Formats: sequence, C-alpha cells, structure tokens
Amino acid sequence: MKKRQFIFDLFMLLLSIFLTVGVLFLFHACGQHEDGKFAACHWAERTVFGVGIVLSFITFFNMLSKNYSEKVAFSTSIGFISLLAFATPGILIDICKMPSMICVSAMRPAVMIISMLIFVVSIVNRLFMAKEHKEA
Amino acid sequence: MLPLRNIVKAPASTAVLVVLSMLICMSMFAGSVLVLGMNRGLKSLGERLGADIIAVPEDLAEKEGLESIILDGTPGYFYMDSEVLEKIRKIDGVEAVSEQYFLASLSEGCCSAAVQLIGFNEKTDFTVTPWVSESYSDKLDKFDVLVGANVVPESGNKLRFYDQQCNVCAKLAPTGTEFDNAVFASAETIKALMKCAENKGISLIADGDPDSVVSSVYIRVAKNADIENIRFAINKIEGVKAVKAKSMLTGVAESMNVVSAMVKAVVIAIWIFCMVVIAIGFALFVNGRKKEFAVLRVMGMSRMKIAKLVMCEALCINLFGGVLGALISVILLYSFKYLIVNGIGLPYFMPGFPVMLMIMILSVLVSAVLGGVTAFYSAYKIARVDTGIILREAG
Repeated sequence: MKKRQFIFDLFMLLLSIFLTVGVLFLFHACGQHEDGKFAACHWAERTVFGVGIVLSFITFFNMLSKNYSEKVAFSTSIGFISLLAFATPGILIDICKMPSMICVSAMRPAVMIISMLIFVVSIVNRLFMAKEHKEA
Repeated sequence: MLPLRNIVKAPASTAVLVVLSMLICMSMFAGSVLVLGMNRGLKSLGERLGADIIAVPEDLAEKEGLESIILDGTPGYFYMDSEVLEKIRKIDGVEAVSEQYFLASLSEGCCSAAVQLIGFNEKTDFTVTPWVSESYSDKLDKFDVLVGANVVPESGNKLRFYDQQCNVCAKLAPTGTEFDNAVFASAETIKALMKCAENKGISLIADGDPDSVVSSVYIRVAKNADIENIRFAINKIEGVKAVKAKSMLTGVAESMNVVSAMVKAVVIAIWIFCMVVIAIGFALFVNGRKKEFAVLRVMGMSRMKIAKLVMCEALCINLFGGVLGALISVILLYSFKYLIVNGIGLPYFMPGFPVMLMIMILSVLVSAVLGGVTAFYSAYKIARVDTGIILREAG
C-alpha cells in the first residue's frame, strides 16, 4: 500500500509542478500586442500559474501526510483544483480565437491534458485509499 | 483467466512491457497519421492552386522565394504595376489570366491576429472561385468576406480590418493549407481596405492608387501551348518573376518526402528498440517464473498448454498496451493538431474519422502481433524446460 501511495502522490506532485512551470516556459500564452496590451489568454496563463502553485503545495503536503483523513481531504481538493485548472483556459477565461495562436494550439490542450491527468490520478488514488482503508 | 491473473500478479514487469508495447503502437499510429496527413495536404494544395504559372514581383521573389510567398501564408503585402496583367494576357498561348491582391491585416485589439487578406477578381478568377463556390456561390458585395476554416469571426459574423467592418458571408471548408488562415474578398473590397489603411497612415502603395497595382497573376495556359516558353516570355517583362505551379508543388513534395522519411526512420528505430527490449523483458519475466511453470507441468499441464499460456499473457499485455497507445496518440494528435501543423510548416490535412479508426485498429493489431512474435522464443524455451532440474535446483 505504501509503495502504491508513494507512486501516486509523487506522480500528482510532479504533474502539478510540470503544470506550474510548463505554463510559464513551455506552453505559455501569446505575448504582448504591438499596442502594448495583453490578450485575455495572458490572464488565463497567469491564473493557471496561480492554480498550479496551489496544486503543487497541496500535492506536496499530501505526500508528507500520513493521516488517512488528511489524505482524503488533500486528495479531494486536488481533484477539484485540477478541474479548476482544466476549465481556466477557454471556459472560465477567454483565449484567442485563431487556432494558429500559441495559446490555442499549445497552452489550452497542454493545460487540459495535464489537469485531467491529475484529476484522474486523484480519483483513482481516492478509490484505492477507500478500498485499502476498508480492508485494514 | 489464468493469464490475466498472472499478469496482475506482477504489476511492475507488466507495466514496463505495456509501456513498450504502447510505444510501438503510438509510433506506428502517429507516424501513419502524420505521413497520410501530409500527403492529403499536398493533394489539397495541388487542387487549390489551379493555375499553370504564377507571376509575382521580381524583387520579392528573389528576396523571399516564391514558395514561401504563395504557400507559407505569412501575412504580408507586395505589389507590381497592374499593366503587367495586360502584357501577360497578350502573350501567345495564354488562355486565361486573373490577378490577386494581397493585404495583411493588423493584429489589433484583444484576441486577434494578423491574417492574410486575398482579393480576387470575380469576373476572371479561375483559381479561388471553384473551391470557394463549394461554400458560397452568391456574389460578394463591397466589404463582404469569406473566411478560411481557422479564422474565427467576431460576434455578429463581423470582422474589422483597418477600422472598417466587414461582413463574413461564409466559412470555407478546411483545406489543410495556409488558405485556412486567410480571408478572401472581392478585388473591390481589398482596394477599399487599402484606402482604409492609407487613411490610418499605413502607406502600402507608392502612388497611393490601389487601381494601379496587382499582387500576383495566375495564368492558365492553352492546351497545346508550351508552358516553359510562356514562363520565359513572362520573365522578360520588367519587374516580374514567373514560376510553374507544378515545380512549386514538386518543391513542397520534396520537403514532404524528407519529413516522411524522417518520420519512417524514427518509427522503425522505435520499433526495433521496443521489440528488442520487449523480447528481453519478456524472457526475464518468464524466466523468473520457472518454478511456477515446473509446478504446472508436475500438475499435468502439457508443454503446448504452457506455451499457449505464455503466448496468451504476451498477447494480453501487448493488446492492452496497443489500445492504450492508440488512445493516447488520438488524444495527443487531436489536441495538438494546430501545433503539429504549425511545426511541420507544410500542408497538412488530418485524415477523417473512418480512416483514423482503421489506422488505429491496424496499429493495435500490429503491436499485439509484434509483441506475440517477440514472446514466441520465451514460450518455446519455457515449454521445453526440464521440470526435474528446476524443482531440484529450487530444493
């Protein structure tokens, strides 16, 4: 159980860090316009970065925690926050419309895939935890 | 059920083998879709060009290269004297001539990008109209535009260029080429937009008269005429550079062949690597269970049944890995399709759902069979093992 738990916790932490760092350097939003203004996707990027930091901290504390109730709370909140990250680009905050823009072609799919992966891992982890707790 | 139980019992070994099998399927699926998508893109581009010869300003052709001007789709504008049109029309063997006007929009306001505006003469055009008419067959009025598949109009089907609002009449079907990012309008509209640009202080034309310029000329040659001779004659006109559309397509096809060859090489390398590692991994996986197989033999299981059991385990692992790989590939290819298109820099038209499904099934089957083949030696070896020796070794 400990080994499985460790792998799941580590996976969630690494994904959260990847989401946070990636949205700034790898799959970032469009740059500043010629007139000095920022497109809405820039603010979507900032929001995902903020959500990513929160996710990274929660997944880190989840990894440190040994208490079952604490882990249940952490795992549930990871699931909900990852959904928030998923919905940020394009649903909660508008991004550019042209598919050739980097925010549409790279940022949105990358954020959606990573956050959905965190969500699925947190749900599967939660199910395993419930099963193992029942057996114990 | 026994093969499945055996697989679940060893999650670490199974996971490694599944990942390798997944890689085989992913490489085959993604490689096939990429190559097929590029071939479709090239075909689509050939259908869209529709002219025998294309003429553009000479200085621009020398600076940028004709292929990048016509095919790359980077928003820009370039002009030559409109008298060129008449000069070309008078050349022997020229059947039809039609001009186009290029104009780049500004990236202004929120969530907008610069797009290529292409104006065509509705009366003489024979390149854009045939495929535009599939989506829109009415006449285009002043400030009416047709948008490529990737261009998203603002609310109320409007688009604003140089402070002038234009009506979006239709969205064109996807082509897999840079035309998907362009906006088409009548020559009258583009000339009016040039004036709007001038009013905003953007100087596009030296004498400020949009009627005195054209951007490119598309030429259709008469049936028995020699294209090369006509191209030569056009190149004699001062300030004009003409190129055969076919040779332009050949250039794109050559670049495409290089990319295809690279994709194929990477796929083959992944296959060889994964098959070798799967063979070794499966041999270790089976070898570590020698005692288990010896006990099964003692209990009366025939050699053939043990071989079948091992093969069945290999098939289950590879089938699962294959399905997982195909699903991941579909998600990644669909999610990042625009990134792939931008990255390749060549015409790319993703295959439709039925073709994708067929490639997916084929990839899963091939990865399962390949996995089975690599496990064959392990199955043969373990079936022939001496039970007595193994049980004595085990004490």
